[in-house]
Amino acid sequence: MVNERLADLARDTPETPPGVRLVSGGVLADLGLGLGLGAREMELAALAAGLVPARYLRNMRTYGPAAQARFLRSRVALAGLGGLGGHLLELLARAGVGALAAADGDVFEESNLNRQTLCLADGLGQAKAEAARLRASAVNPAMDCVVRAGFLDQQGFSELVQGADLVLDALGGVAPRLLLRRAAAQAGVPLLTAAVAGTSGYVALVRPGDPSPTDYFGTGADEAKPPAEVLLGTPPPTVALAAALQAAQALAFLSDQGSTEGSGLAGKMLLFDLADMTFATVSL
Amino acid sequence: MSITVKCYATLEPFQPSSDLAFRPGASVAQVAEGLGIPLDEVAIVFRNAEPAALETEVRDGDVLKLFPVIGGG
Repeated sequence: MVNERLADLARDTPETPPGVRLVSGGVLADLGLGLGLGAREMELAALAAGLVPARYLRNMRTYGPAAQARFLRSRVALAGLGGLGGHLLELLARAGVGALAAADGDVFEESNLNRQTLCLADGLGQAKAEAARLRASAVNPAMDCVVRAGFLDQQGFSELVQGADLVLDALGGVAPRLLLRRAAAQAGVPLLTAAVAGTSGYVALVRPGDPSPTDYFGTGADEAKPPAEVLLGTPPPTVALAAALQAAQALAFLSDQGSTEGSGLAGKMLLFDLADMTFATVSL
Repeated sequence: MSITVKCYATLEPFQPSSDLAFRPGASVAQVAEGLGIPLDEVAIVFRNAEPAALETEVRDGDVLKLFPVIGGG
């Protein structure tokens, strides 16, 4: 019945792949209200009926309807809602990832304004978790976003990654990354990690059992000197680029039904430096 | 022999402006020390896009990437 109703309401567009038609979010919302179905369920029903929700039109030529449905059925864990995490939340919500479990215990301060997309001039002092929850539902109500306000310990990270298809490391500093790395490995979930300092950064997709960049970093407990990101800062383009690379790799991974074999950074590390515009992919 | 070195983040001040000439048998550590880099600041070494150690011997034409600990998010 849903399929028939949807088919009647679909629109054609030259931008969709052959055989695919478009349906607007308003139509889906109205129909969902009558059927008692939420935005995510309605979008999945539309895709199953060969209709593409219009909000994903510009995803189609890159990912296609089957991958879009896989995004909507995906569960992603996101640790950290600062610079990397704010951009990732935005990109994954717009891409149409269906479920996000996120965590951050911090509140916004002025020094976050240069790069953290969830941090607004009138939002200083606000919990990052609260800003993330509001932004996610404002951008894409189809994304089921559960945000935990708290700095996680080993047990907390284990709970965060439980049931996830992919874990995104958007934490600040080295020490908490080690806890997240252990939690992801123990849960058998691939970890997509990134970090930046100054104009440099890296992104790596760490499958369970793979080495991770953090394996080379010690405990991060050396208090003798400030960490690189404090010495060099975290300028906006470096952070946005690292997050965009993470998001691109995350969507490639999720669209490939969770196989890391076809994913470019599986077992590898991408190093970049925006000072000389160099990019290099190396083995770990 | 000639090698190429790329220094990232906090190691950038040690970036040589051109390829380096070294005698055969030199190690990554000797290359780094030759540039004035404190060895404890090098977290990861890549030699020709593969992980390497400070003790790894470099060869003519090698490309070395030296990466420090970074954790900014």
